[in-house]
Amino acid sequence: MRIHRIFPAAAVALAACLGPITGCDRGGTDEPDAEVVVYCSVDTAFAEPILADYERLTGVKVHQIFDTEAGKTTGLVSKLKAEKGRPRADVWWSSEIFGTMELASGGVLAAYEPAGIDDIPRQYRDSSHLWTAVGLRGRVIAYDPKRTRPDELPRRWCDLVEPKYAGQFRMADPRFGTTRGHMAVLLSLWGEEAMRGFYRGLRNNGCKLTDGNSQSVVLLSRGVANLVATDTDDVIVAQGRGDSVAMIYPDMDAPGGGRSVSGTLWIPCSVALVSGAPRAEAGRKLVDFLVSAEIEVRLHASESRNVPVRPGLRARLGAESPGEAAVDYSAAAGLLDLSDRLVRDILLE
Amino acid sequence: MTTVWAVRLVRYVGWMVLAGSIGVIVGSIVVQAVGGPVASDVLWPSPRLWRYFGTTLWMAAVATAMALLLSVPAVIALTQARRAWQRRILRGLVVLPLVTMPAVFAYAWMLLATRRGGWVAAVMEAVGWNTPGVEPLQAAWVLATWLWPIPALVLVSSYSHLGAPGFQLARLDASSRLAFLRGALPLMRAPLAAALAVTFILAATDSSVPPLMGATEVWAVEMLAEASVASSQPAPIGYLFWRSWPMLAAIALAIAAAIPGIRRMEDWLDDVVAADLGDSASTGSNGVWVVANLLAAAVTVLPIVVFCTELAGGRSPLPQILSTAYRTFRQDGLATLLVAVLTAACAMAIAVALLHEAETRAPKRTFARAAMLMVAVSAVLPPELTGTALTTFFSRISDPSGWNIYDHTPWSWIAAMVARFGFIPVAVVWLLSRRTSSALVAQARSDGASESERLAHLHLPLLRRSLLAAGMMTACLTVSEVGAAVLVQPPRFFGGSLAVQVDGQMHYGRQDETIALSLMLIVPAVAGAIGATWLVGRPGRIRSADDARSQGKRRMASGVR
Repeated sequence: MRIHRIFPAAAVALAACLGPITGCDRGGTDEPDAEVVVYCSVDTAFAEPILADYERLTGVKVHQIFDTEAGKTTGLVSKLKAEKGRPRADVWWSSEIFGTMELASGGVLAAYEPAGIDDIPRQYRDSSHLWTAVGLRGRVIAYDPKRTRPDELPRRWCDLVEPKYAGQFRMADPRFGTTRGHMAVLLSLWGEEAMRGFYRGLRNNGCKLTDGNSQSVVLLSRGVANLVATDTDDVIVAQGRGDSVAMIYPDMDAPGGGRSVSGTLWIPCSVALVSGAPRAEAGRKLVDFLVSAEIEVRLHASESRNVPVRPGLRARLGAESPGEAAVDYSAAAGLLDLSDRLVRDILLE
Repeated sequence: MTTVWAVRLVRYVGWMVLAGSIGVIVGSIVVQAVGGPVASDVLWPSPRLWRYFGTTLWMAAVATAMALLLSVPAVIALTQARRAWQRRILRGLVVLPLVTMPAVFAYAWMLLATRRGGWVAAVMEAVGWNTPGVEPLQAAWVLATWLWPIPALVLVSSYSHLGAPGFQLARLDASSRLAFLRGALPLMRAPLAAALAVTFILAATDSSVPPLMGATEVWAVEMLAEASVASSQPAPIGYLFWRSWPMLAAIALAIAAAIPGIRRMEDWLDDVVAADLGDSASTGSNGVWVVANLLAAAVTVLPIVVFCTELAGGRSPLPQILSTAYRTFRQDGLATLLVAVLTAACAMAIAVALLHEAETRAPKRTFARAAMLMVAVSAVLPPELTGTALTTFFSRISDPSGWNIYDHTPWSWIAAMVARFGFIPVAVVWLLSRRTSSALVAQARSDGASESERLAHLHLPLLRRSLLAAGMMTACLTVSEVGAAVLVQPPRFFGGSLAVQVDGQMHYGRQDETIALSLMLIVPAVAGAIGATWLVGRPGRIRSADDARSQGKRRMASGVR
């Protein structure tokens, strides 16, 4: 095996490899509107079939970049910020809304009002048309009905600091994904002092963090935790797997007899056009598709069971968002940095 | 002539790759970090970060100790194997875990832990696997099941090269156990320390196993959060660099501890993977050997057994599960494989380029040493820093309106992987090149052979198999990388990172497609393990002029016929 023998073979192999590298793969094209790039933090299992159908219906090649579960949205938000000088993505499709609002305030997103969103309520549309929200998932407490009786469950999120829940509760790291937005919403409703007290209470109760909402449910199934904060879709997937898991929708009342907020938080997915998108026209068409009623129906029919934001659609599908609280997403998004700091300084310290 | 021409070409390619990958990262750090940290709290970590740092070091230390224990059966099996073919199979099995995606082991244990009913669930219950609060210990165990081949292979080869004479001498008046502990082990101390230091570094910096096992209060997970904070900073790369100094310092200390041992292994470094013990007859009993083999095989093939068992009891028929997994992840799999192969090629080109400069005189040789230092530094940087630096640089220099290197090629991805794993071929070539006889090199030099000719005809014939094996290891590790890959996936390439996809799916627990995919991920690892051990098991040799002439005659003769 001598180098002068290996070299021609290696050159041929390299040339074969260069085909796909130089964009000569089956999907590559130089026409600007014949392809579109989407950065997506919606779970692959739910997003991929939808994007594949879009490709099939329109003939437009969709390049998809996904995030890891641990850093849900964080990795791609960082990538979008790093690319801000010369954006490469056309569309941002997020599994939550707070990271999207952060990107909007950072000038990463472009204004675009998609077609066919008249039936979407105002709170799910940005007033400057920087994003549109669809498909809600609820923030719930999951438990194993074989191990925990209904009367032992907390009724409100703030109840989790009670001593009887010591060592029982886990949640995903509140600096990532929907848990991050959830904590920011509680901060916006309760105020900083109450939130500090909540984090201190959780810390004193030995609240441990997990690597993501889905992993929280896995830990619940394993019996490592008795109560976990998670999203509705993670519970539904676990139930489909045959795990003994149930969920409740705790109220968001402030602790210590403070502000009363009945119902829990429901967080929508969000779709936006990236500012300076290289294929803006193709991006707009994909945004139209992703915020359409058809996609809301598909997300609801999937294992994710997202609840449509369109009231008419909800009624038609019989979809419900139990205990949906009215919250100001933008107020919470403005508090994300403070929320992160409180998590770092109190809960994690 | 062809060979010399090829070496020259590879040399230039190597330098270009080095500049476009590691050069960009180190340059970004110098530009952004040279002014010092942006605030004092960036330089001096908070008590929480120190706590995470301590947990990580503790976890890595426990993982290292467990890896050493796990390596014992394999060491016994390898040292007592009587036949060469037995050793060949065993060493392939031993290398396999090391080149398998570490998350695969974590996923296998997650599946075992979530079994409902049956003897597996009873055993997991009995050992207290699901006891709250033991997650770092579980992560350490899983890391050990991935990393145990390092101490195993080093123990076997260092016994063969250093410990055996001491053992034989001590055996004259002591039992086997005492003879090994007092006669052989002291002689093997330095290589063993090096192996444990490398195991420790890999355990401390892994970012996929601890989160999957539920251990979130570790350094690698915190770096993910820091990357998020960094993205809002004016100098994100500088911020991340200053944030990561405690771990960099710990790694530097571990490397310093490893250097004496690595120096001792210079002459037989490729034997570490070859585990070639010659024809020495075993003195152990058959029973011990069989038990050791069974234990070693059990540790190695556990994930395969778990996945096969799960798939056999899956919700859909096995062919359907495999077919769905293949269809869903085919594009990403192909893209990842391609990137792995090109990363290995690029890393080998860098190794050849640096060796070429080392053959020259100062100041080029000094330049090569500086470049080697850069390769070493880039290997231990947090993957988030590597990814951010390359994404920022290449997205800025390429125009998105047309064909460009950032969107259409996986260059940023390859560059990140070269930065992370390129040190393997470079270190192997650098260390093994020293054993080329200095008299031969001097003779070639006085005969007027150029640097390229000396490289082509003296060094590379001896190194090529080890270099290819190192390239294979690089490719296998590239397939598994998640931390940097998520940031550097090319937007308009035909596929993304399979490891990122798999890592995301694994968090959901038991899913047929994810199990099938995890099983499929072991296939390239098997190929890598077999290839690497086969390559280094066959020593290279320098072709003499007579060889070349006789080969030329054979060619002519065959042409006449």
